Amino acid sequence: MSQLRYALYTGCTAKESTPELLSSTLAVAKKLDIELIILEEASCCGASHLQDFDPFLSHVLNARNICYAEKLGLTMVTLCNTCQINLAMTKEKLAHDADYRAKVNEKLAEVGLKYQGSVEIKHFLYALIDDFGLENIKAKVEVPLSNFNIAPFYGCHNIRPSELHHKSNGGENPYNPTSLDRLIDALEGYPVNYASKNKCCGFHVDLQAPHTSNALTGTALLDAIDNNADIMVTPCPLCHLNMDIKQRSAGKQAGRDISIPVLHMPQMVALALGCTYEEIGLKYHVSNAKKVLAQATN
Amino acid sequence: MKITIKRFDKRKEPQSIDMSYPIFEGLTLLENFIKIKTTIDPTLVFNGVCRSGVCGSCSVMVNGKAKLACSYKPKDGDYIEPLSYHEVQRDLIVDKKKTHNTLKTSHAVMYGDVIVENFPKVTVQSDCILCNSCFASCPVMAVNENFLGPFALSRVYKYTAISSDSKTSIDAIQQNGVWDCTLCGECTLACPQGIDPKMDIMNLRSKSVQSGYMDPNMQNMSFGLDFTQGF
Repeated sequence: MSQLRYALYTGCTAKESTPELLSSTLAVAKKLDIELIILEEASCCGASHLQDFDPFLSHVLNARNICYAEKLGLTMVTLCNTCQINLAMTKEKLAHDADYRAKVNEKLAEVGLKYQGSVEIKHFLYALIDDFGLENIKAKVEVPLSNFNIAPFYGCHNIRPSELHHKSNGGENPYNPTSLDRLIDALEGYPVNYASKNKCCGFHVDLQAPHTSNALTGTALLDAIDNNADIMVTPCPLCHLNMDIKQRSAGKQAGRDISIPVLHMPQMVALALGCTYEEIGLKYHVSNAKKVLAQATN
Repeated sequence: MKITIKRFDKRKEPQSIDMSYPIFEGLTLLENFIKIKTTIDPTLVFNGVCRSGVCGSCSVMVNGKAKLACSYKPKDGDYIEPLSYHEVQRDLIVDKKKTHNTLKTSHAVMYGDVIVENFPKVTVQSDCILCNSCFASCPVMAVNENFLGPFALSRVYKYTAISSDSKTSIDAIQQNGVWDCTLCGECTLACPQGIDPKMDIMNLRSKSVQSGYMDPNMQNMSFGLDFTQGF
C-alpha cells in the first residue's frame, strides 16, 4: 500500500482544550506511516454558532479552510464531528449554488484564494477504517484491548443528516452505525451494544439549557455503564468534553454516581498500537483515565 | 416471523400489554395492521387513511424510530409502539393536541404581508404531512416537555421566510425554542418528506440574532464550574 497522505484540519478543540486528541492522532499516524500535514493557516469552523450570526461569513471561513487543503491537493481529514459537518455543509452548499460560490470566491480573492471544491473531506475515523483498512490496523496491534468492554459513542454530526455524510462515511447507517464497533473489534476490544450509542450528548445546549444537556449526557453514560462498559470512546471532542467533564453534574442530576474513563477515538487506537502515556495524553482527562494504560497491559 | 405491538386501553388492567402477531409478508406495516384487524384480532386500533405516504396519520415508533406504517415493511422481531411524547388514546392512536399547541405557542402563523418571491425557499417545508415523526424523534422532548420542538419550529421558519413581519413569531421562540435545540439532526433523519428541521432551526437562530436577540451561549461565556476543569 502506498503511503496515505492527508491535510489535517485540527479545528480549535484539538489544539486548545483537548491537546491529547492532537497528540494521539499524530502518534497513530506515525505508527501507521500515514502522513498528516497540519493546516496551520486554517481557522475555526464556526462551531454551529457563528452560523447564527453570519451564515455568509461562516461559509467563507469554511471555504477558506478547504482552500488550504486544495492547495496541497490532499483529502482533508477532520478530528471533530462538528468541524466535519460544517465543512461538509459548506462544500454541499457551494457545489449546488454557483452564484453563491462566486460571491464566496469574490471574498476569498481578497486574501488570494479561490475555492474549487476539488478535495474530499472526511473524518479521521473513516480515513482509518475505509482508507487504511481494519485488517491493516489489526496487523499493527501491539496491546490488544481485550481487557476492556468499550462503549462506542458516535456523536450526531458525523452520521446525521445521512445524505450529507454518506459521501465520506462509507454509507454509515445513522440508525445503527457500526464503524466504531468494527474498529474496537479490530483492536481486539469488546464493543458494547447499547441504545444510546448514536444519541445526542447535549453539548450544543450546555450553556443555555444545562438541565437538558446534563440529562442527555447522564442518560448516555449510565446506559454505557449499565451495559458493563469499562471505557467510552468517541470520535468527537465536543461529545468528549461533555462525557468527560460533566460526569459529576450529570450524575448528581440523575441521582447516581457516574465514573467511567472517556477516550477520544485516536487515543484508543494509540493505546492499542503501543504508543506512550504522553502520546496518548491520558493526564488531561477529568474522568479517571490514567488507570487505563496500566489496565490495558495487565 | 412476528412483530410485537404495544397495546393500550385505559379501561383495562393492566392498561398496557405487548402482543405478538405474525407478519404477512410482502405487505406494508399498515397493511399488516389491517390484515391483523380483519383476520386475527378485531380489537387492534390504529390510524391510517391514504395508505400512500401522503396523509401522515399512520406514523408509529418502530424499534424506537418514527416511521410511516404505510411506507415501511416490517421485519421479524420489530417492536411497534405509539408515537413518543404523545398521550396515548388507544393502542397506536395518540392525541396530537400537544404538538398542535406548540404551533400556537410559537405563533407559527402568517403575520404581515406575503412575500411571494420567497416561496421557492420553503417549498420543501410546505410538504409537511403533519405526521409528527420529527417531534417524536427529538431527544430534548424527553427532558424538557415545554420545548417547542422541530415540528413547530420548522413551521415558524416557513412562515417567517415568506412574511413581511416575523417579529411576533421570533419573539415567541426564544424561550424553550431555537436555543434549546441540540442540533443533533434526529428530526431531519426522521422526516419522511425530506424536510430539514435542524437547518430551519439554525436559520431561525440567524433570524433571532438579526432581530436583536443574543445566542445564550455567547452571554454565558463563564462556561460554569464544570467547564473550567477542562480548560
